[in-house]
Amino acid sequence: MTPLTVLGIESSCDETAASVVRGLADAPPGKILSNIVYDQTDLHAAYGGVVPEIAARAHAEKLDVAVAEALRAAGLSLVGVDAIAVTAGPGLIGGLISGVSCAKGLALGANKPLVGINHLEGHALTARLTDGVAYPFLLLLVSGGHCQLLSVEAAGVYRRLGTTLDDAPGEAFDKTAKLMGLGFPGGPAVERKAEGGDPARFDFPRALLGRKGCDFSFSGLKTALRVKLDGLRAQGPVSERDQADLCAGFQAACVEALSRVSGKAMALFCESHPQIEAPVLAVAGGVAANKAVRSGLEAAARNHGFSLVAPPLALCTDNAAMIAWSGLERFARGHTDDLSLTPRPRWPLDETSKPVVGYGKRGAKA
Amino acid sequence: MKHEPMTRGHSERLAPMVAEVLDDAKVNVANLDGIAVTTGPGSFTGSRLGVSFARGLALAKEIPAVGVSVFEAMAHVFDGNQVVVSLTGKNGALMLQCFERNSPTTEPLELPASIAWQTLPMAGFYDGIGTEFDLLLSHAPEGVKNRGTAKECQPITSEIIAQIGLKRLGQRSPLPTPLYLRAADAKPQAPVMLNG
Ligand SMILES: Nc1ncnc2c1ncn2[C@@H]1O[C@H](COP(=O)(O)OP(=O)(O)OP(=O)(O)O)[C@@H](O)[C@H]1O
Ligand SMILES: [Mg+2]
Repeated sequence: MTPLTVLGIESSCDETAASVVRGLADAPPGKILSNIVYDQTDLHAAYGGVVPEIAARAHAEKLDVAVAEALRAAGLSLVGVDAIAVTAGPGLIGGLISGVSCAKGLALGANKPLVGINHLEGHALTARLTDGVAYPFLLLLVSGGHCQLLSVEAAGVYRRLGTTLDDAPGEAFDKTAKLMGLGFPGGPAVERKAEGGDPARFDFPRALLGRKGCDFSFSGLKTALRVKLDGLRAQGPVSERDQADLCAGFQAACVEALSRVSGKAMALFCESHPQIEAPVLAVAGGVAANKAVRSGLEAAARNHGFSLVAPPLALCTDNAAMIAWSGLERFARGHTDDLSLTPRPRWPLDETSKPVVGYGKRGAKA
Repeated sequence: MKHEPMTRGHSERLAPMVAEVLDDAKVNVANLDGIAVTTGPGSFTGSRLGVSFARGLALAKEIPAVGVSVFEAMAHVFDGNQVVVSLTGKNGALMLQCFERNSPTTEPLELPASIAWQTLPMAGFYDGIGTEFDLLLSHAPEGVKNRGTAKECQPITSEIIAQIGLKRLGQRSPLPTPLYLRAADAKPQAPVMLNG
């Protein structure tokens, strides 16, 4: 078998990214030949969140530049590429349209097959690209727009075990930072503030933990934070200590929710896959950058006899290497799209699961 | 040449249409020497779609991509001495650009109708093409009003864009970028004061 070489393109949120990956779909891990990410954080910082029109404008002027750089860094031209993979959803429609259009231009111009990829599948298969994790495995996706537990049964077969019913954790971190004026993106800022804070001083709700299933809820945390902050403010200036304690309490509640619900999912996964000897919990998404989250999940995995696979941080957040790898797996299975490929702002990985009503301020993706 | 009017659905149709047009013309992609694309003003999404596709194709083929604005295309087909192109903007505003024999003499701008006339050439007579010339003149003082006449301009087609692209192939043009004329709609966040 000869390895495949795939160009990946990603523009579903606020990173414009292109990457070239080489490998065998049946024999992961793959090799990342280049991984270019143009981050738009500076463009959005003043607005306290991603502004869709600003993101779309930046993507349209950067996509081909990122592709050219990824090819150069990989030492290839398009002739040396077997397929062009592009994120076709879910995400912000403006960026998706630019990415898909650019990929179509490339595919038509270079006469190469086009493969549309679900961004969530990109995150889901990162553990295969980096660590060669075998199917089936359990995945926790914790990002700015998602919080899902998925059983990745086989190539392209996903079973959703649980999802957030309201906000995603990254979104909750971002809103917390916004309320406290800590800057954007909020996750790292809240994590820094939480250092040295007392997580026990304020009482944050632990929503849904008593319930059966593997669903999450994070919007109550945000409300609790606002109420506590307003209470402190009414009494005078909110001190550094108060801020640190608030952030620590909020973060601890997130970590507990993520670890405990993942624990339930690990138990379910073992029930439905009794033959697996060394089960894996893979984690993906920007919130996996959080050290407290990582150690919470590590402990939970250990308790359930799982090993935790957390990709390097650069591959937890949005990137195109994960899109190229997913494209490689799909292309190897004979899947391609034609030039009428249409971006989908909503695109659940497990299309058989019920959509969750009222989900998501960042584009209702579940 | 092909065209299909659409309010939505560009995203599916543009690339297949380009492939069909090449087929109909019996031209292999391999033989293309350049690609020209409209940059706007118009639908932001539509402009991005076309520009992104053209830039992708140009990169793959290592051929030039040429961006042509609606103003440039209209001035080109009308081909007059002094031409003012005006289009309908947002919230009663006008989008306009002035040309002298096909060369722009002002930057493309979006302005309130009440002051847009100030960008008109101060000497000579000019022809006004586009949708908003009458509105533009209705705000102008007599001395300015008397120097312009509204004229008809034939509709812009992809053929016209391609012709302009062909003319510019030899020149080194910058990569096409969408022409918005308007900043993105977003308000900066007010600062949060916690300890003061
Ligand atoms: N150290 C951290 N602690 C907590 N959250 C973090 C940390 N670092 C990043 N984040 C959060 O991760 C999110 C960004 O991650 P990512 O790029 O994976 O999400 P996204 O692309 O916005 O969402 P999606 O992939 O679901 O569309 C942001 O909400 C950010 O605040
Ligand atoms: Mg993401």
